[in-house]
Amino acid sequence: MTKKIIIKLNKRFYSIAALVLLLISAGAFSLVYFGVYNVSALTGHTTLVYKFLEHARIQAVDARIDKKVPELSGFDWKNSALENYQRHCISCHGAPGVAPEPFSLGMMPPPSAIVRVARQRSPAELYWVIENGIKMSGMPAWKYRLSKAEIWELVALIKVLPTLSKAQYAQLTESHRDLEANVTQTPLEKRFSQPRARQEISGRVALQQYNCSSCHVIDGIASASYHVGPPLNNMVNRRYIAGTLPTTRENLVKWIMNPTQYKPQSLMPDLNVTRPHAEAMVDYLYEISDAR
Amino acid sequence: MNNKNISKAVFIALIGIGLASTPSYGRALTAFEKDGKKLMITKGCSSCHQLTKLPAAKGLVGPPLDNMAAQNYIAGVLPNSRENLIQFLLNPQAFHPDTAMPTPNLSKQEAQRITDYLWKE
Repeated sequence: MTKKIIIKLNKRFYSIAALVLLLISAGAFSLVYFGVYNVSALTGHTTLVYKFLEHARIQAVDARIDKKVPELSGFDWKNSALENYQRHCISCHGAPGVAPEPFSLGMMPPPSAIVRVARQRSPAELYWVIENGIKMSGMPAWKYRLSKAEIWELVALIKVLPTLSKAQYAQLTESHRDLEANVTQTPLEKRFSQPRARQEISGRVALQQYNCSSCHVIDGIASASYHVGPPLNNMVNRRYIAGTLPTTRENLVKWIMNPTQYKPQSLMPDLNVTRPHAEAMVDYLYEISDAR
Repeated sequence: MNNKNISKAVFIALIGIGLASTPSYGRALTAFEKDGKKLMITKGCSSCHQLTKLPAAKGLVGPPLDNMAAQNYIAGVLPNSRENLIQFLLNPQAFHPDTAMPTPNLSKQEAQRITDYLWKE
């Protein structure tokens, strides 16, 4: 008799639990299906979603940072670091007494005030975020643009920024401008970046870091599903590159580095791909092609 | 209404939403498109180009022609439209002088049929 009642209760419990789960998933489904959750950048996430994402970010960075940090005082933060900061960072993050560019004011989440993160985050965290970027936040990854030393120099500079007054920062950039006038004029990207070791470079990541994936279909990259250019799957087995250049490993590398040299009327733009990055990309294109 | 009936109702509603939002695929080929499909083989397109829905077309000389309607450009030089594709088929070298693609022997009408077919598939 008693046994029977317990079974009956359990049955009731499970059916209620199943119903609640079903209602929750139906609710989540409707939020998406009916477009209830707004993706507009005019306003931020709701507090609940914001807290959740912020926590996820902190945990994710924490789980991945390298605790071994080089001595920051060993890095020169006054020369190339300042130049890199002025060129790549200030437009979104500002500097003491310098506002970010108008476009970045419309970004959501808003880019953080550099002095605030300089005070709150450890050098290891700053290094990781600069090198890796943060997905869907607007913070780009710099791994394929800056060398390790350049990133550490930036970290050293960022750590100094909260100690500077508006006048001191202005003076620093002023004296830097005089110095820059004497430097031979070569493109910045080429002047500074020392290549990283091949094993640190991934062809699949490089194809995303040069935005190949927004125009070409590429196996293994979820967002690469658009047809602006031809699909790159099995590319290495097609006889011609862009209809003109016989397909060889070396020609693929050369084409990626400088398409307009081989086909001036091509709509594919030059993306200033470095040779090591182009080689890594070609390796990946071989990987995703049928073996011949 | 008891629990069982409510869950049944929710389940049926979800299936209904799912079905209603599935786009309809698989319209049969029109007569023009069927002509284009034949021309793809008889005019030699299929020996250089790949088209998943046309198993005979598995050439690896030129680019694959799947999903042509979704392509933004023709041969990387010409904005894609039906009219531009017809013009390109009639004289590829006019748009891309050093292309490896030979000028196919097509009448304007045949180029139109092939375009009809490629835009469908």
